[in-house]
Amino acid sequence: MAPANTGGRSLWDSAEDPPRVRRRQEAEGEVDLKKVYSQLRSTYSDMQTEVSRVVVGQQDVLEQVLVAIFTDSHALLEGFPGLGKTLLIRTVSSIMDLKFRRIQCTPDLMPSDVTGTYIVEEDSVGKKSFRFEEGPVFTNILLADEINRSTPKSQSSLLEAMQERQVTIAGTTHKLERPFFVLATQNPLEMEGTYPLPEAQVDRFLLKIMVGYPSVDEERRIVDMYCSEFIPRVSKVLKREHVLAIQDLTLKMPISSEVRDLALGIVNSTRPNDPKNKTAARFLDYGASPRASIGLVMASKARALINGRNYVSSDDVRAMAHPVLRHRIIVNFESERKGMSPDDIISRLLNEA
Amino acid sequence: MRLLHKKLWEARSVFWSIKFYRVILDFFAAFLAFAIVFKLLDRTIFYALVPAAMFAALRLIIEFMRGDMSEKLRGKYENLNERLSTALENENVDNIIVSDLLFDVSERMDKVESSAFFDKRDISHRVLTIMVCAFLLLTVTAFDLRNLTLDSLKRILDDPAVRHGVNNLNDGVSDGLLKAFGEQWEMSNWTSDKELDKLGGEGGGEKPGESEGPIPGSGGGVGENTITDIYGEASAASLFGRDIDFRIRPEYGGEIEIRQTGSQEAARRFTLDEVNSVEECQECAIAPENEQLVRGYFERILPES
Repeated sequence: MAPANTGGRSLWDSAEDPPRVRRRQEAEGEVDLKKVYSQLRSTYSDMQTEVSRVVVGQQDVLEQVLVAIFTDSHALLEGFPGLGKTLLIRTVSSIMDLKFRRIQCTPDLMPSDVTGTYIVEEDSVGKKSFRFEEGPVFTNILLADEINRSTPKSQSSLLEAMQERQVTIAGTTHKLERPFFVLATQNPLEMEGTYPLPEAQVDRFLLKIMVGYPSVDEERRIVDMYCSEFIPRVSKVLKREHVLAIQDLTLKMPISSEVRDLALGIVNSTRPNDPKNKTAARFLDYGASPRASIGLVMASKARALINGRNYVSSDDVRAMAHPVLRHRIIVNFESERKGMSPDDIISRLLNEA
Repeated sequence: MRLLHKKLWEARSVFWSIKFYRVILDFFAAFLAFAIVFKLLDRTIFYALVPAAMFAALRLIIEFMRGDMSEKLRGKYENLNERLSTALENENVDNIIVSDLLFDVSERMDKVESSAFFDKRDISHRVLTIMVCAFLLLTVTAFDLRNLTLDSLKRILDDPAVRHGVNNLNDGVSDGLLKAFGEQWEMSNWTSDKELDKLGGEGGGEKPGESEGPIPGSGGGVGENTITDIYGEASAASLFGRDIDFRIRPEYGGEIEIRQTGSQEAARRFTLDEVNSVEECQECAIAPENEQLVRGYFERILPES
């Protein structure tokens, strides 16, 4: 949406710079975009190499996590315990020169444990005052481990931080440092002692990444690696300004109208209220929102970028459709009766697209 | 970017040149087709230029409406497919990735060959159509097909030259079939010596005493149906076993030559008037002055048979 005319000054001038403009200024001011772009392919290769020192396999998961980071978004990793979700996120954060914090979500986790709180502090002369003690959300990468084990109230405390990149406590708004990502993990909902994430919060995650079991060969390597004295170490590959620069390059990635319309068509086909969408009408209660369209295009751009391409391919859209849409569609009784998962329905929609 | 525009302009010029060439071929094909129609309608073939030109104009409009060079390129060069469409749509965007993309597409456009736009099958069909139409037009021009009736067609087919040509063609086909299908086909088309003798008797040949005809060197034979009556009505004009309605028309002029009779008197040219007089005499008797000639002829050939 174009800024309103304010007598020669745009709204962006009068008000605070929008996030994207600010990020671009930061990125262009500190690093050479051309250099970052020309080295991006090798940078991604280096990141893969470093992560593979610790995490065996899971290349798709790594790619999707990086897509979430380079689109300045958040990702939710789901899988059974012990599959390396937390390890992967910790490793990714360690190869980037960024601040990293972790919240281990439990049912007794309070919102103030996430955002921070005011504490009474007494100075040397005995004067007491409130001082804001920042919570773990004040970081660059926040790992919310087993997020579905915390109560909905605590989960909601992340809402504002995730969407607005700020937290408001006692009427005071505190800006979060950029970049800011929430990488959350969760166990499948069938497990006891968990709280399903609110729909509004789920929608704030760009991607829902499914972490599967490793292959036999991969598992053999995992066992060999972790049943020895060898301690894997990784080195930092990306600086903060590089991450910002790559985020800016993602926005610059060109996309043809044909590929963009493919993404829109896929998202639109999930909406059961449209009589043309027979599959959606049959198997879905609710379809994806326009935020999903934005997310699908952005994720496709980031995937094209890290794969060293200078255009968005329809393959990028198709590859990112599952992680972007699987948590944004709600299946109905018919699909549950037939044992069809959201991924099955998305695959069907992709075939029809 | 100017470079991409230049490359695209070059590709477009090649693309449209080929399209124009196709339209020209269509024009020729249409002209020939309409020329055949006009020829059959007994009109000058130059009238065909008008509908052919209209057809070519219509084709040009259709080609223009259908002609998307980038689609053709994208279909032929998969690696250009999404790159080209993205570059074309974002060529006015100024950023590092788009610049890289435009440069990339420009480089790839250098590798695009003119043959990418050239549909060999399509052009071949058009050329073949023109050849067929040209052949038909020549046929219509050479033979007056307007007067073609069943009788005239039969006359043409019964023409010895046509039959000879057909037989030669048949022999050629037989040889081809023999080569293709081998002995099986050969047996089914085998001709016995007896039949060959019969053919010799009917059709005549060159070998004296066996296959020589009533007039030496010109046919006849001594087979089952040996022709002895050289003055007979129809048998005198028997050819390949078929009686030919042979008439001499003096009013058309000309002459008949009898050769190699061994007699200076006989080996001369007969005018049609003389032949005509002979034809009249056949109804009564042999002219006295020719009796000796005929007798001598038969005496010479009978002992050999």
